[in-house]
Amino acid sequence: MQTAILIVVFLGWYMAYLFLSIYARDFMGMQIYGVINLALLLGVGQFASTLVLAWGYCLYAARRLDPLAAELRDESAAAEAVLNGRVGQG
Amino acid sequence: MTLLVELPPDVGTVGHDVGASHVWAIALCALFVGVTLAVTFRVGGTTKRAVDFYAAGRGFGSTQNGLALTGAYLSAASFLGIAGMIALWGYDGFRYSIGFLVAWMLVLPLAQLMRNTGRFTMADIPAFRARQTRVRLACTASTVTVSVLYLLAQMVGVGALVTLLVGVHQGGTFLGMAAPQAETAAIVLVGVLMIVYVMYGGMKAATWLQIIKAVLLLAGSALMAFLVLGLFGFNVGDLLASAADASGKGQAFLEPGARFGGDVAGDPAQSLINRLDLISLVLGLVLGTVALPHILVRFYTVPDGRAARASANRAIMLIGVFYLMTLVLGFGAAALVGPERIAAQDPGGNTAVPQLAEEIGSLVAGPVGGAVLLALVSAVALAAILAVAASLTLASSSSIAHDLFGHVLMWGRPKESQELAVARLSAAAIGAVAIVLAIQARDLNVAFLVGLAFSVAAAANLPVIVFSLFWRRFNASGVEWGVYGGLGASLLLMLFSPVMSGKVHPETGENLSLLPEWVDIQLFPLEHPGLVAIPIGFLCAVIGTLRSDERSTDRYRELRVRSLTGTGAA
Repeated sequence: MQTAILIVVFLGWYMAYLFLSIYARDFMGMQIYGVINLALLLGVGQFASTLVLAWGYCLYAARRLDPLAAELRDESAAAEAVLNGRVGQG
Repeated sequence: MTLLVELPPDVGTVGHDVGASHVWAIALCALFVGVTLAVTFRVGGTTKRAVDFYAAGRGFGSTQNGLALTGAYLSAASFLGIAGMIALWGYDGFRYSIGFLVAWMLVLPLAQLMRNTGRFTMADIPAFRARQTRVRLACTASTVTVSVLYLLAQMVGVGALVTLLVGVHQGGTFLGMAAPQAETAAIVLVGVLMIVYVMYGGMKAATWLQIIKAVLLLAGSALMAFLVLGLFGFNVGDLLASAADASGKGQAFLEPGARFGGDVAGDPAQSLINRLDLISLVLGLVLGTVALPHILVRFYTVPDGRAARASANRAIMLIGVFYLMTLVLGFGAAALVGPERIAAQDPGGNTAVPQLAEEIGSLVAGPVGGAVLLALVSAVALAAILAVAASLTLASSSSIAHDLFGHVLMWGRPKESQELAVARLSAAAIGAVAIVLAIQARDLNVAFLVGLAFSVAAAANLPVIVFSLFWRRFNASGVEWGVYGGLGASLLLMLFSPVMSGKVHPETGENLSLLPEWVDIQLFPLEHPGLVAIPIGFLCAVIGTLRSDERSTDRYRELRVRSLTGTGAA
């Protein structure tokens, strides 16, 4: 669920950037520091945010998702043992 | 026999010391091919079981696979094409590269689920719940279509690249060959090499090929980016300012709108179409990446889901750093070589990086430096194409052997040795078909094929993957409808698009479409089908599902557990 929110927020952030670069050219051309304008900063910002989010997601997954998965695995292993069910895949 | 290219002195070639550079380029390419072939034959001896051929024995680590994903994803178009676009169009070339990276944010959360659910191919994911042969058939159709479209673009690119790099496109000769012969020879050589890699070494050889290529590509780009920044005293502002000056467009060079989604003065309809076209392109890129078969199968080469997730994370870091380096290379080429000289060499900008390599090499270490750096860039570009082509061939031959032969023809009970023989044979067959088609299409502009491959992946494969993993009600009928709907919509829209017919140059009236001038079947205004085809693909998958009463609630529950935990995963 949190993963879905993450994806939606991130795609929204990217679409916002895309639409700004299509419809708000003057705004994007605003010069911030020397020749460096807002469009360049936001573009590099997209890279930075992707890298940070990817890194953050992996930390989150290792801390939160993996223990949950382990718990689920133990439960289903117990259930499997009772049912003596199928494990392999055809 | 002479290696020197005979060129009239007034022809603006890539290099003034072309001969030396060719010797270096051939030596470096030969070294790359020699090393990768040695690796192929080494690992070929241990490729005996199906799991070796399809999934490299699941023995690669996450860093190795992260590099291999980077290698499989970054084609020569990313290296030469995007830097070239930045050099010619400034900011808009950069905007294009952002979509390629952002796409990986979808791959990251899905990597683990896809790894845990499947075994060898994309079809394993829906087939986990709906074990019908028609599911396998549909997935084979889309896998092979996507891979062959993409492969064709790579193979035609080889011809163009080689002639561009050795300069024969301007009327010179190379080893006694004029441009058409040199193109054909390059296509055949690359085609034969990729068949050899895949047939002998399967996924193990393909993975090592990607790893070697990714290291070369990243190291080469890093070296050049470092040199460019060094020339500007590591001041990014100076680099951008000189690029903007040299472009002749001034500050506008650093702002969006020079190339994509631009306004056409006095024609609001065309402006709207341009904007929609850009959105359509980006949508296909962002949603298609996760569903590209040759990317997806890479996740089966690691031991478990956690390693798959980690390898996607590594790939994002590497790809992100790479695109930032292309930004430096592109603006560096604009500043040091200048858009005019680049456009004179190739209007598409593909020679920007080679020209830049020669320029900075000469500035740093004289003519020899220029020759060596140019040769290095040529070898990297060739390695890039070769590696991507091999992974595409492998993805489609795996699907033919495992899905079509193993599950459709042999009812899921093939002998392992038979299935492997079919995989090797189909690799050879697909390679041969690609060689023949690429030679036929040598003179056509096939750049649209890459966009089409991404769009088919997003419209036909993505609905199937997403619904298989997350929708309880999804079933075999939904798979069929989704795949054939998305595939058909993408191909038909492309047929009726301006790429195929009805596009003329606004000033000269020259025919810019693929079909001859007298054919005009243009019905669809966009050049990229994604915006319409992807919703159609998802809609068809929903309709197909609801039309059938079939349910697989038990298997779905099992899939959820397995995809999250990896219990019972192959």
